Amino acid sequence: MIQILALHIEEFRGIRNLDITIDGNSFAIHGPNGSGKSGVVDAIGFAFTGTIARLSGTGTAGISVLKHGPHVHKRDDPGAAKVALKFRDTASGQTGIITRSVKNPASFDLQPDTAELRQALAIVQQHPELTLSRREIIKFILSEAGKRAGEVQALLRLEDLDAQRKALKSAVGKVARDKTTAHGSFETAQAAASRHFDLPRLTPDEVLRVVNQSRSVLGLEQLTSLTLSTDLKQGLDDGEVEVAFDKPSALRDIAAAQSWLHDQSAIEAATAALLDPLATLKADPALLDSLKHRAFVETGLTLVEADSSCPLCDTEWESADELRLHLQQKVASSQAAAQQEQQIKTAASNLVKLMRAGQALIRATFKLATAWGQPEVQEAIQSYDDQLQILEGSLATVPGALGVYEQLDAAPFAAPASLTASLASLANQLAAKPDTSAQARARNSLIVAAERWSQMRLARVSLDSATKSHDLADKIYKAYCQVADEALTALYEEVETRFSQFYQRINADDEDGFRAELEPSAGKLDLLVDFYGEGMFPPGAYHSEGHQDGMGVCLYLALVEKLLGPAFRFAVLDDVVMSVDSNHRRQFCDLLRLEFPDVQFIITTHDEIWAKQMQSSQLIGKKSQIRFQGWSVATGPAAEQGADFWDRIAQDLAKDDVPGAAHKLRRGLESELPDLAEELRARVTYRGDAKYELGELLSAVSGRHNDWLKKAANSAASWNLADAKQRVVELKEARSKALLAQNAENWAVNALVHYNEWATMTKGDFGPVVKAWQEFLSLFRCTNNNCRSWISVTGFPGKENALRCQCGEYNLNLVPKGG
Amino acid sequence: MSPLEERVINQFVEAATAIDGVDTDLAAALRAELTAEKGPNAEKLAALIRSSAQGSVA
Repeated sequence: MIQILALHIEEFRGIRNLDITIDGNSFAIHGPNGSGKSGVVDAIGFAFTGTIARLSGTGTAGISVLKHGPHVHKRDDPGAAKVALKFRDTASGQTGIITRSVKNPASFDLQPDTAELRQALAIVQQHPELTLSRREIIKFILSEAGKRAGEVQALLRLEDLDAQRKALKSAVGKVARDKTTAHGSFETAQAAASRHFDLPRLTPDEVLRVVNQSRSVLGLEQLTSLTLSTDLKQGLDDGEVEVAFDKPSALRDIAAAQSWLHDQSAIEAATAALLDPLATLKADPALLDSLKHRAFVETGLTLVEADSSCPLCDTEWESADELRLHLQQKVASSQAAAQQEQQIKTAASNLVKLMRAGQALIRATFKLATAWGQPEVQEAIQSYDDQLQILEGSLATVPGALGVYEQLDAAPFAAPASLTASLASLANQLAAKPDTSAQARARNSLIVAAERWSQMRLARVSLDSATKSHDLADKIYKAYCQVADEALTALYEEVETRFSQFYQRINADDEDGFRAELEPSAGKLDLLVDFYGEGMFPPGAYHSEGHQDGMGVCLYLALVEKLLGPAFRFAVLDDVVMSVDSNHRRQFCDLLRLEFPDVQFIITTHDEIWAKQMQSSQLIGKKSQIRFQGWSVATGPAAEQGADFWDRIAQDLAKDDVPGAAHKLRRGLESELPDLAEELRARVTYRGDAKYELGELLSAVSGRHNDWLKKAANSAASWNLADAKQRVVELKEARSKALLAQNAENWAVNALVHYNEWATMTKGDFGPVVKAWQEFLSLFRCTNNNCRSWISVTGFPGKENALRCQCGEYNLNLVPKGG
Repeated sequence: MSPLEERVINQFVEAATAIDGVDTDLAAALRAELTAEKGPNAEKLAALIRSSAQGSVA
């Protein structure tokens, strides 16, 4: 994995020329909206991947890196737009510089070009999730279970598991359809046998009774047992019979076909059930379009080769995996079309089943017509059979079914007059055939019986085979799901534990009992979260949007931690911290700092308070931030790295700009003192609008500080700790000195604080004021340069136990002996 | 293939061979198809299962 050391951006997006020194530390990019912060995030992404995330995806048609990556004034000169990023490979310790130009975004220059650095870059390129934007957070939290599973599995690189599970499920579906078809064939064969025996149910006793009657007439041995393998005509010499004719059986076949053609209520109902969703589809062009695209993209998915060019449009992709993921997402996005497709397929399948049953009856008559009927009778039956056959072929696909909508709507199964007449004629013709001898009738009956019994046996073998295939496929699929679910459950248990810990850390004040459950099941991932001990609910049920965003960040961190383990060393959080509500900023900073001490976070925010909070909580250092102060097309952003408001005041005074310096001092104090008041638990008169005067904050902070020092002195005395007593004495002296200096400049302070009379001051007047304030505020900061955090009071209100800084170098015990 | 995916496919092959009707040849063929470079093909998986089941019926 890499960590960023420095960044040079030239004529790229909204930035003309910018250098940022990052030194592998966590880093904040802050400034108002529209000041160019996102250009830095784009530049980092571009340097690593050659792409700009925000120029791709929904709503970016017609926008490209080549045309719109350069600064607008350099739009015809993409070679001028480039980004150079200096980075360190955390695995090898090597450092390198990758440079990429918009003119040729697919290639990059790497100096030095070593295998280790290339490997480190390859890893970053494989993990686009290392950049998290605010709009992406919620997809982990509010998605439907199936979609969330996809998002989370994609982030954890588990797409193959999903693809394997889906392929096995689809295989189960395919063999299930085999079974349905085989079952239909068996029922058809069974019906043909029933008609021949003239038995409503084929019980062995009844079948043997009918068969043995014929055998008895022929003097053949009686059959005593019956299986599907039994040869019903065993012992009969049928060598001279070309086509056996059993008149009663033949007439029953014709009657069955006529009956099916006459009573079409079942097939008409099935046709109506298919016409209904087809009509919906026809009436909704967008849905139809979505369905067509779905079919198109699904076809494309099967054609993706390893060379990563799209088989549908020839566009080159970074990798075949990325292309597959893109197509899979497109397929997943047409859910409504998929539901409609499924409804149509089910209805078509039911209709086809009834059609096949009818077809079997019609075909039985065709055999009779071929043997004894007139050519026109054969033709009428064949024509109807062909019609059913073509229709069945059309119903195999949704576009096919849509293509025969008008035909289906026009009662396609009604018997044509020619067919009705032909069947009647055939029945009359066969009925008129002279009765044969009892022996000939028995002989023919036995031959037809054996033939139909044999067809039943073959159909049964096919059904058994299909059933066995289905059972086997089902067991295999279930075995896979069980193994995958167990593995995913174990994985998600770890993730949900960390997710809960992270969220608890941010919301320790009111949700320290928070817990979450991630439950995978057959491609879905349910997420339930605790709501103040009232039960487990979906995150969107009761939690506020702010809390949901917080959950999104925590789940993201837990997932990336799981995905990368110790290799998680770098992440860009683009405007993500704005999702955390203001009451929990410190806790969020602590979460990043304490749980991910080795991770370099690049954080953008438009909230200055957030930037200060990151610094005071030591998530970032004073130099590890860049402030954007405005932007223009001609110059790009005005940026300033590592300067706090004291530096900026000094810069103003160096230019004799007292009004500017005074304005910054006042703004700086307005943002610093509320934080300090909070850290010291200063007492001010509550204001509903939270707009406290500087004067009252100053007084409250100073007074409270004095209280804590007194307590610390009492504690040190009670424990009789010489060092501690001396430390408090020194702090009190420093306090007195700072207050004295501040009092000396009180006139100016008052003017500044109460009357804003900075305009009348000179540089000579104002310099000491600034110094006095610096000395005063330094009373409350740790002197360790690696810390520099505010001192704060710890312990429950009324039971305060220490006044200390983040690193512990400033640490005064407030608890007296025996207290 | 991620380590987790590797583990799942190995455990699946082990679980599948314990199923009546799945021999080591079928398990190996399923593994090969599931981990194919181009992604698993449902039709091929169905054909493997059909072929194995038909063999045992016969």
